[in-house]
Amino acid sequence: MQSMISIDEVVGRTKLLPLLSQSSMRLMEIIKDDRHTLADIIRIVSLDAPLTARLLMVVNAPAFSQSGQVNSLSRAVAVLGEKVVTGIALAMCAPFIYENDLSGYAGERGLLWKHCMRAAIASREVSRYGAREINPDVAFTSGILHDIGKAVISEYLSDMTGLLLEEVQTQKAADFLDAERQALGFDHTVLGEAVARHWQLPAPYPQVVRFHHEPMLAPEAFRHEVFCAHLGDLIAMMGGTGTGADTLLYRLDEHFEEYFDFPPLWLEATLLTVSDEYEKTKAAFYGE
Amino acid sequence: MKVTVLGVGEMGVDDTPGAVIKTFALGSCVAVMVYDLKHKVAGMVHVALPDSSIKPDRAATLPGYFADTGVKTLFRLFSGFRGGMTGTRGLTVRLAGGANIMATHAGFNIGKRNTEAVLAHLGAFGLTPMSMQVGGSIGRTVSIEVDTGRIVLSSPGRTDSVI
Repeated sequence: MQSMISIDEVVGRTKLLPLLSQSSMRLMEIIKDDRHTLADIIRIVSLDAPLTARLLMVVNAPAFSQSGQVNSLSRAVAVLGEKVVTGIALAMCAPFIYENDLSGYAGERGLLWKHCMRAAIASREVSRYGAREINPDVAFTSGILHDIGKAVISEYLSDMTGLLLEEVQTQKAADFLDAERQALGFDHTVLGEAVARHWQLPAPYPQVVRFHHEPMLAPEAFRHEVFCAHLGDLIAMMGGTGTGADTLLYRLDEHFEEYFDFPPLWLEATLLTVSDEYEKTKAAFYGE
Repeated sequence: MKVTVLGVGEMGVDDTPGAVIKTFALGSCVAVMVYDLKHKVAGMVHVALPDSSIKPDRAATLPGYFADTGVKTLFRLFSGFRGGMTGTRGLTVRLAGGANIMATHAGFNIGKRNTEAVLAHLGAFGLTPMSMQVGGSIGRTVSIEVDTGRIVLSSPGRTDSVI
Protein backbone atom coordinates (compact mmCIF):
# COMPACT_ATOMS: atom_id res chain seq x y z
CA MET A 1 0.00 0.00 0.00
CA GLN A 2 2.00 3.02 -1.18
CA SER A 3 1.02 6.02 -3.27
CA MET A 4 3.20 7.70 -5.88
CA ILE A 5 3.49 11.06 -4.13
CA SER A 6 7.04 12.28 -3.73
CA ILE A 7 8.13 13.55 -0.33
CA ASP A 8 10.21 16.24 -2.06
CA GLU A 9 7.13 17.51 -3.86
CA VAL A 10 5.09 17.69 -0.66
CA VAL A 11 7.89 19.28 1.36
CA GLY A 12 8.34 21.74 -1.51
CA ARG A 13 4.71 22.74 -1.13
CA THR A 14 5.21 23.52 2.56
CA LYS A 15 7.64 26.24 1.45
CA LEU A 16 4.74 28.04 -0.19
CA LEU A 17 2.87 28.38 3.12
CA PRO A 18 2.67 31.92 4.52
CA LEU A 19 5.23 32.77 7.19
CA LEU A 20 4.25 33.38 10.81
CA SER A 21 3.56 36.92 11.98
CA GLN A 22 6.40 38.89 13.54
CA SER A 23 4.50 39.05 16.82
CA SER A 24 4.14 35.24 17.01
CA MET A 25 7.81 34.73 16.29
CA ARG A 26 8.86 37.31 18.85
CA LEU A 27 6.52 35.88 21.48
CA MET A 28 7.92 32.37 20.98
CA GLU A 29 11.47 33.67 21.24
CA ILE A 30 10.87 35.80 24.28
CA ILE A 31 9.01 33.24 26.41
CA LYS A 32 12.01 30.92 26.06
CA ASP A 33 14.12 33.50 27.87
CA ASP A 34 13.58 33.17 31.63
CA ARG A 35 14.51 36.83 32.13
CA HIS A 36 11.52 38.16 30.18
CA THR A 37 8.85 40.23 31.91
CA LEU A 38 5.15 40.76 31.34
CA ALA A 39 6.02 44.19 29.96
CA ASP A 40 8.03 42.51 27.18
CA ILE A 41 4.98 40.48 26.16
CA ILE A 42 2.69 43.51 26.26
CA ARG A 43 5.12 45.51 24.13
CA ILE A 44 5.07 42.88 21.39
CA VAL A 45 1.32 42.40 21.42
CA SER A 46 0.64 46.13 21.42
CA LEU A 47 2.22 46.37 17.97
CA ASP A 48 -0.27 43.85 16.57
CA ALA A 49 -3.72 45.45 16.46
CA PRO A 50 -5.75 42.35 15.37
CA LEU A 51 -4.09 40.28 18.10
CA THR A 52 -4.84 42.95 20.69
CA ALA A 53 -8.49 43.00 19.63
CA ARG A 54 -8.77 39.22 19.82
CA LEU A 55 -7.20 39.08 23.28
CA LEU A 56 -9.65 41.65 24.59
CA MET A 57 -12.53 39.65 23.11
CA VAL A 58 -11.31 36.41 24.67
CA VAL A 59 -10.58 37.90 28.09
CA ASN A 60 -14.07 39.34 28.25
CA ALA A 61 -15.70 35.99 27.51
CA PRO A 62 -17.81 34.60 30.39
CA ALA A 63 -15.36 31.73 30.93
CA PHE A 64 -12.83 34.06 32.49
CA SER A 65 -15.44 35.35 34.95
CA GLN A 66 -14.05 38.86 35.22
CA SER A 67 -16.00 41.06 37.60
CA GLY A 68 -15.83 43.93 35.16
CA GLN A 69 -15.01 44.65 31.55
CA VAL A 70 -11.28 44.37 30.74
CA ASN A 71 -10.32 47.22 28.45
CA SER A 72 -6.56 47.34 28.80
CA LEU A 73 -4.10 45.12 27.02
CA SER A 74 -1.86 44.81 30.07
CA ARG A 75 -4.75 43.51 32.16
CA ALA A 76 -5.81 41.13 29.37
CA VAL A 77 -2.32 39.64 29.10
CA ALA A 78 -2.09 39.32 32.89
CA VAL A 79 -5.46 37.52 33.08
CA LEU A 80 -4.93 35.19 30.13
CA GLY A 81 -1.29 34.40 30.82
CA GLU A 82 1.49 34.63 28.31
CA LYS A 83 1.17 31.01 27.15
CA VAL A 84 -2.45 31.43 26.13
CA VAL A 85 -1.52 34.74 24.47
CA THR A 86 1.18 32.99 22.42
CA GLY A 87 -1.24 30.22 21.49
CA ILE A 88 -3.84 32.72 20.31
CA ALA A 89 -1.20 34.59 18.32
CA LEU A 90 -0.18 31.38 16.54
CA ALA A 91 -3.76 30.36 15.78
CA MET A 92 -4.52 33.80 14.38
CA CYS A 93 -1.56 33.99 12.04
CA ALA A 94 -1.73 30.37 10.86
CA PRO A 95 -5.43 29.67 10.18
CA PHE A 96 -4.32 27.66 7.13
CA ILE A 97 -2.90 25.19 9.66
CA TYR A 98 -5.16 25.29 12.68
CA GLU A 99 -8.48 25.87 10.92
CA ASN A 100 -7.80 23.43 8.10
CA ASP A 101 -10.32 20.66 7.78
CA LEU A 102 -8.69 17.35 8.58
CA SER A 103 -10.53 15.27 5.98
CA GLY A 104 -7.69 12.74 5.90
CA TYR A 105 -8.38 12.03 9.55
CA ALA A 106 -12.19 12.36 9.27
CA GLY A 107 -11.81 15.35 11.61
CA GLU A 108 -13.89 18.47 11.34
CA ARG A 109 -12.55 22.00 10.87
CA GLY A 110 -11.13 23.48 14.07
CA LEU A 111 -10.38 20.10 15.66
CA LEU A 112 -6.62 20.50 15.21
CA TRP A 113 -6.62 23.72 17.20
CA LYS A 114 -8.65 22.15 20.01
CA HIS A 115 -6.38 19.12 20.14
CA CYS A 116 -3.22 21.25 20.13
CA MET A 117 -4.56 23.54 22.87
CA ARG A 118 -5.42 20.56 25.09
CA ALA A 119 -2.05 18.92 24.34
CA ALA A 120 -0.30 22.22 25.16
CA ILE A 121 -1.96 22.44 28.57
CA ALA A 122 -1.10 18.79 29.25
CA SER A 123 2.48 19.25 28.04
CA ARG A 124 2.91 22.19 30.41
CA GLU A 125 1.45 20.19 33.34
CA VAL A 126 3.78 17.28 32.59
CA SER A 127 6.81 19.62 32.44
CA ARG A 128 6.41 20.28 36.18
CA TYR A 129 7.67 16.75 36.85
CA GLY A 130 10.79 16.91 34.66
CA ALA A 131 13.85 15.07 35.97
CA ARG A 132 15.68 18.24 34.90
CA GLU A 133 14.17 21.70 34.78
CA ILE A 134 11.87 22.16 31.79
CA ASN A 135 10.60 25.61 30.82
CA PRO A 136 6.78 25.25 31.11
CA ASP A 137 6.25 27.94 28.48
CA VAL A 138 8.35 26.02 25.98
CA ALA A 139 6.46 22.84 26.88
CA PHE A 140 3.17 24.65 26.24
CA THR A 141 4.26 26.01 22.86
CA SER A 142 5.59 22.54 21.97
CA GLY A 143 2.08 21.23 22.49
CA ILE A 144 0.58 23.97 20.34
CA LEU A 145 2.98 23.13 17.49
CA HIS A 146 3.42 19.36 17.66
CA ASP A 147 0.81 18.33 15.06
CA ILE A 148 1.16 21.10 12.44
CA GLY A 149 2.11 18.44 9.90
CA LYS A 150 -1.39 16.95 10.02
CA ALA A 151 -2.83 20.03 8.32
CA VAL A 152 -0.47 19.43 5.38
CA ILE A 153 -0.68 15.64 5.10
CA SER A 154 -4.45 15.49 5.52
CA GLU A 155 -5.33 16.09 1.87
CA TYR A 156 -3.04 13.24 0.78
CA LEU A 157 -4.84 10.85 3.15
CA SER A 158 -8.37 11.94 2.37
CA ASP A 159 -9.38 8.91 0.30
CA MET A 160 -7.68 6.36 2.48
CA THR A 161 -8.75 7.04 6.08
CA GLY A 162 -10.73 3.79 6.30
CA LEU A 163 -7.88 1.84 4.78
CA LEU A 164 -5.38 3.26 7.27
CA LEU A 165 -7.69 2.41 10.16
CA GLU A 166 -7.98 -1.14 8.88
CA GLU A 167 -4.19 -1.44 8.61
CA VAL A 168 -3.87 -0.54 12.30
CA GLN A 169 -6.82 -2.65 13.44
CA THR A 170 -5.49 -5.71 11.64
CA GLN A 171 -2.01 -4.95 12.99
CA LYS A 172 -0.52 -4.63 9.52
CA ALA A 173 0.61 -1.23 10.76
CA ALA A 174 2.03 -0.74 14.26
CA ASP A 175 0.06 2.48 14.77
CA PHE A 176 -1.46 5.32 12.73
CA LEU A 177 1.96 6.90 12.17
CA ASP A 178 3.20 3.64 10.65
CA ALA A 179 0.02 3.44 8.56
CA GLU A 180 0.73 6.92 7.15
CA ARG A 181 4.29 5.84 6.28
CA GLN A 182 3.09 2.66 4.62
CA ALA A 183 0.50 4.57 2.58
CA LEU A 184 2.55 7.60 1.54
CA GLY A 185 6.18 6.84 2.32
CA PHE A 186 6.24 9.66 4.90
CA ASP A 187 4.19 10.83 7.88
CA HIS A 188 2.81 13.97 9.50
CA THR A 189 5.89 14.48 11.69
CA VAL A 190 8.20 14.77 8.67
CA LEU A 191 5.92 17.32 7.00
CA GLY A 192 5.48 19.12 10.31
CA GLU A 193 9.22 19.50 10.65
CA ALA A 194 9.36 20.92 7.11
CA VAL A 195 6.75 23.52 8.09
CA ALA A 196 8.65 24.31 11.31
CA ARG A 197 11.88 24.82 9.33
CA HIS A 198 10.06 26.97 6.77
CA TRP A 199 8.75 29.10 9.63
CA GLN A 200 12.30 29.25 10.98
CA LEU A 201 11.13 28.12 14.40
CA PRO A 202 13.95 27.92 16.95
CA ALA A 203 14.97 24.71 18.73
CA PRO A 204 13.46 22.66 20.27
CA TYR A 205 10.29 23.16 18.18
CA PRO A 206 11.38 21.48 14.89
CA GLN A 207 12.67 18.55 16.98
CA VAL A 208 9.44 18.38 19.01
CA VAL A 209 7.35 18.31 15.85
CA ARG A 210 9.54 15.68 14.20
CA PHE A 211 9.95 13.30 17.14
CA HIS A 212 6.82 13.70 19.27
CA HIS A 213 5.79 10.11 18.48
CA GLU A 214 9.34 8.74 18.75
CA PRO A 215 10.97 10.79 21.51
CA MET A 216 13.92 8.46 21.98
CA LEU A 217 15.06 9.32 18.43
CA ALA A 218 15.25 13.03 19.30
CA PRO A 219 18.65 14.58 20.07
CA GLU A 220 19.33 14.07 23.78
CA ALA A 221 19.50 17.83 24.40
CA PHE A 222 15.81 18.25 23.50
CA ARG A 223 14.42 14.95 24.71
CA HIS A 224 12.69 16.29 27.84
CA GLU A 225 10.70 18.83 25.82
CA VAL A 226 9.92 16.21 23.17
CA PHE A 227 8.63 13.85 25.87
CA CYS A 228 6.41 16.64 27.24
CA ALA A 229 4.75 16.98 23.83
CA HIS A 230 4.61 13.18 23.45
CA LEU A 231 2.76 12.75 26.75
CA GLY A 232 0.69 15.91 26.21
CA ASP A 233 -0.49 14.58 22.85
CA LEU A 234 -1.55 11.24 24.35
CA ILE A 235 -3.19 12.82 27.41
CA ALA A 236 -5.23 15.10 25.12
CA MET A 237 -6.45 12.06 23.21
CA MET A 238 -7.28 10.18 26.41
CA GLY A 239 -9.36 13.18 27.43
CA GLY A 240 -11.35 12.82 24.23
CA THR A 241 -9.74 15.59 22.17
CA GLY A 242 -7.97 13.97 19.26
CA THR A 243 -7.85 14.92 15.60
CA GLY A 244 -10.32 12.36 14.20
CA ALA A 245 -10.00 8.74 13.13
CA ASP A 246 -6.43 8.43 14.42
CA THR A 247 -7.37 9.36 18.00
CA LEU A 248 -5.66 7.05 20.52
CA LEU A 249 -4.00 5.02 17.75
CA TYR A 250 -0.47 5.99 18.76
CA ARG A 251 2.07 4.27 20.96
CA LEU A 252 3.36 5.40 24.32
CA ASP A 253 7.16 5.44 24.48
CA GLU A 254 7.62 3.70 27.79
CA HIS A 255 11.07 5.25 28.33
CA PHE A 256 9.21 8.36 29.51
CA GLU A 257 9.81 7.55 33.17
CA GLU A 258 13.56 8.10 32.70
CA TYR A 259 12.88 11.79 31.99
CA PHE A 260 10.41 12.61 34.78
CA ASP A 261 9.94 12.10 38.51
CA PHE A 262 6.24 11.37 38.66
CA PRO A 263 4.46 10.97 42.00
CA PRO A 264 1.69 8.38 42.44
CA LEU A 265 -1.60 9.26 40.71
CA TRP A 266 0.08 12.00 38.65
CA LEU A 267 -1.80 10.97 35.51
CA GLU A 268 -5.23 11.10 37.17
CA ALA A 269 -4.41 14.51 38.68
CA THR A 270 -3.09 15.75 35.34
CA LEU A 271 -6.18 14.58 33.43
CA LEU A 272 -8.34 16.49 35.90
CA THR A 273 -6.36 19.73 35.73
CA VAL A 274 -6.06 19.58 31.96
CA SER A 275 -9.77 18.98 31.54
CA ASP A 276 -10.64 22.01 33.69
CA GLU A 277 -8.18 24.38 32.03
CA TYR A 278 -8.98 23.19 28.53
CA GLU A 279 -12.73 23.72 28.97
CA LYS A 280 -12.11 27.21 30.29
CA THR A 281 -9.68 28.14 27.50
CA LYS A 282 -11.89 26.65 24.79
CA ALA A 283 -14.92 28.53 26.05
CA ALA A 284 -12.97 31.77 26.07
CA PHE A 285 -11.38 31.21 22.69
CA TYR A 286 -14.68 30.52 20.99
CA GLY A 287 -16.39 33.34 22.88
CA GLU A 288 -18.78 30.98 24.66
CA MET B 1 -36.33 16.99 19.30
CA LYS B 2 -34.79 17.66 22.68
CA VAL B 3 -31.10 16.71 22.78
CA THR B 4 -29.24 17.03 26.07
CA VAL B 5 -25.46 17.05 25.63
CA LEU B 6 -23.43 16.00 28.64
CA GLY B 7 -19.94 17.27 29.31
CA VAL B 8 -17.28 15.43 31.28
CA GLY B 9 -18.62 14.45 34.71
CA GLU B 10 -22.16 15.48 33.92
CA MET B 11 -25.22 13.27 34.15
CA GLY B 12 -28.76 13.44 32.89
CA VAL B 13 -32.02 11.56 33.24
CA ASP B 14 -34.99 12.24 30.96
CA ASP B 15 -38.49 10.94 30.33
CA THR B 16 -39.48 13.48 27.66
CA PRO B 17 -40.93 11.64 24.66
CA GLY B 18 -38.55 11.85 21.68
CA ALA B 19 -35.65 13.19 23.76
CA VAL B 20 -32.04 12.06 23.38
CA ILE B 21 -29.12 12.24 25.81
CA LYS B 22 -25.72 12.43 24.17
CA THR B 23 -22.06 12.78 25.08
CA PHE B 24 -19.14 13.40 22.74
CA ALA B 25 -15.63 11.99 22.44
CA LEU B 26 -15.36 9.62 25.36
CA GLY B 27 -11.65 8.74 25.12
CA SER B 28 -10.73 6.96 28.36
CA CYS B 29 -13.98 8.11 29.97
CA VAL B 30 -16.92 5.71 30.35
CA ALA B 31 -20.57 6.50 29.63
CA VAL B 32 -22.94 4.55 31.85
CA MET B 33 -26.39 4.38 30.25
CA VAL B 34 -29.43 3.24 32.18
CA TYR B 35 -32.88 2.57 30.76
CA ASP B 36 -36.28 1.80 32.25
CA LEU B 37 -38.46 0.32 29.54
CA LYS B 38 -41.66 0.33 31.60
CA HIS B 39 -41.49 4.02 32.55
CA LYS B 40 -39.61 5.08 29.39
CA VAL B 41 -36.81 6.81 31.26
CA ALA B 42 -33.23 7.09 30.04
CA GLY B 43 -30.17 8.21 31.96
CA MET B 44 -26.47 8.66 31.33
CA VAL B 45 -23.37 9.68 33.27
CA HIS B 46 -19.99 10.59 31.72
CA VAL B 47 -17.39 9.16 34.14
CA ALA B 48 -13.80 10.45 33.80
CA LEU B 49 -11.87 8.80 36.66
CA PRO B 50 -12.25 5.64 38.74
CA ASP B 51 -12.19 6.99 42.28
CA SER B 52 -13.27 10.25 43.93
CA SER B 53 -10.68 10.03 46.71
CA ILE B 54 -8.27 11.91 44.44
CA LYS B 55 -10.44 15.05 44.69
CA PRO B 56 -13.38 14.82 47.10
CA ASP B 57 -14.37 18.47 46.63
CA ARG B 58 -14.89 17.82 42.92
CA ALA B 59 -17.01 14.79 43.76
CA ALA B 60 -19.18 17.00 45.95
CA THR B 61 -19.91 19.45 43.14
CA LEU B 62 -19.73 17.09 40.15
CA PRO B 63 -20.28 13.51 41.37
CA GLY B 64 -20.53 12.16 37.84
CA TYR B 65 -16.82 12.78 37.35
CA PHE B 66 -15.92 9.63 39.28
CA ALA B 67 -17.14 6.05 39.00
CA ASP B 68 -17.93 5.61 42.70
CA THR B 69 -19.96 8.79 43.17
CA GLY B 70 -21.27 8.88 39.59
CA VAL B 71 -23.02 5.50 39.56
CA LYS B 72 -24.58 6.07 42.99
CA THR B 73 -25.85 9.56 42.13
CA LEU B 74 -27.22 8.47 38.76
CA PHE B 75 -29.44 5.87 40.43
CA ARG B 76 -30.58 8.38 43.03
CA LEU B 77 -31.51 10.82 40.26
CA PHE B 78 -33.19 8.03 38.34
CA SER B 79 -35.50 7.06 41.20
CA GLY B 80 -37.07 10.53 41.02
CA PHE B 81 -38.27 9.72 37.51
CA ARG B 82 -39.80 6.39 38.57
CA GLY B 83 -42.27 7.72 41.07
CA GLY B 84 -39.70 7.53 43.84
CA MET B 85 -39.20 3.84 43.21
CA THR B 86 -35.82 2.92 44.65
CA GLY B 87 -33.76 -0.10 43.75
CA THR B 88 -32.69 -1.15 40.31
CA ARG B 89 -35.40 -3.63 39.36
CA GLY B 90 -36.52 -3.16 35.76
CA LEU B 91 -33.40 -1.23 34.76
CA THR B 92 -30.99 -2.21 32.00
CA VAL B 93 -27.47 -0.84 31.86
CA ARG B 94 -25.08 -0.50 28.95
CA LEU B 95 -21.55 0.92 28.83
CA ALA B 96 -19.41 2.60 26.22
CA GLY B 97 -15.94 4.18 26.19
CA GLY B 98 -13.03 3.24 28.43
CA ALA B 99 -10.56 3.38 25.55
CA ASN B 100 -6.80 3.41 25.95
CA ILE B 101 -3.81 4.61 24.00
CA MET B 102 -1.54 1.90 22.60
CA ALA B 103 0.49 1.13 25.69
CA THR B 104 1.30 -1.73 27.99
CA HIS B 105 2.19 0.60 30.87
CA ALA B 106 -0.37 -0.10 33.61
CA GLY B 107 -0.46 3.52 34.73
CA PHE B 108 -1.83 4.60 31.37
CA ASN B 109 -4.73 2.13 31.36
CA ILE B 110 -7.14 4.64 32.83
CA GLY B 111 -9.87 3.55 30.40
CA LYS B 112 -9.62 -0.01 31.63
CA ARG B 113 -9.59 1.08 35.26
CA ASN B 114 -12.63 3.31 34.65
CA THR B 115 -14.53 0.37 33.19
CA GLU B 116 -13.53 -1.93 36.05
CA ALA B 117 -14.55 0.65 38.64
CA VAL B 118 -17.93 1.22 36.98
CA LEU B 119 -18.56 -2.53 36.82
CA ALA B 120 -17.69 -2.91 40.50
CA HIS B 121 -20.05 -0.11 41.55
CA LEU B 122 -22.85 -1.45 39.33
CA GLY B 123 -22.24 -4.84 40.93
CA ALA B 124 -22.91 -3.29 44.33
CA PHE B 125 -26.40 -2.47 43.00
CA GLY B 126 -26.78 -6.03 41.72
CA LEU B 127 -26.47 -4.93 38.10
CA THR B 128 -24.44 -6.29 35.20
CA PRO B 129 -24.42 -4.44 31.88
CA MET B 130 -26.59 -6.00 29.21
CA SER B 131 -23.98 -5.00 26.64
CA MET B 132 -20.89 -2.85 26.40
CA GLN B 133 -18.60 -1.44 23.81
CA VAL B 134 -15.51 -0.58 25.81
CA GLY B 135 -11.74 -0.64 25.52
CA GLY B 136 -9.61 -0.63 22.41
CA SER B 137 -8.12 2.57 21.02
CA ILE B 138 -11.30 4.21 19.75
CA GLY B 139 -12.76 7.60 20.61
CA ARG B 140 -16.53 7.17 20.91
CA THR B 141 -19.54 9.48 20.81
CA VAL B 142 -22.69 7.93 22.25
CA SER B 143 -26.40 8.73 22.54
CA ILE B 144 -29.43 7.10 24.14
CA GLU B 145 -33.06 7.61 23.03
CA VAL B 146 -35.75 8.03 25.67
CA ASP B 147 -38.50 6.39 23.56
CA THR B 148 -36.69 3.13 22.91
CA GLY B 149 -33.50 2.98 24.95
CA ARG B 150 -31.66 2.59 21.64
CA ILE B 151 -27.99 3.49 21.97
CA VAL B 152 -25.98 4.69 18.98
CA LEU B 153 -22.20 4.87 18.92
CA SER B 154 -20.16 6.80 16.41
CA SER B 155 -16.44 7.32 15.85
CA PRO B 156 -14.65 9.35 13.17
CA GLY B 157 -13.89 7.25 10.07
CA ARG B 158 -16.01 4.32 11.26
CA THR B 159 -19.58 3.17 10.65
CA ASP B 160 -22.11 3.93 13.40
CA SER B 161 -23.19 1.00 15.55
CA VAL B 162 -26.03 0.20 17.94
CA ILE B 163 -25.63 -1.58 21.27
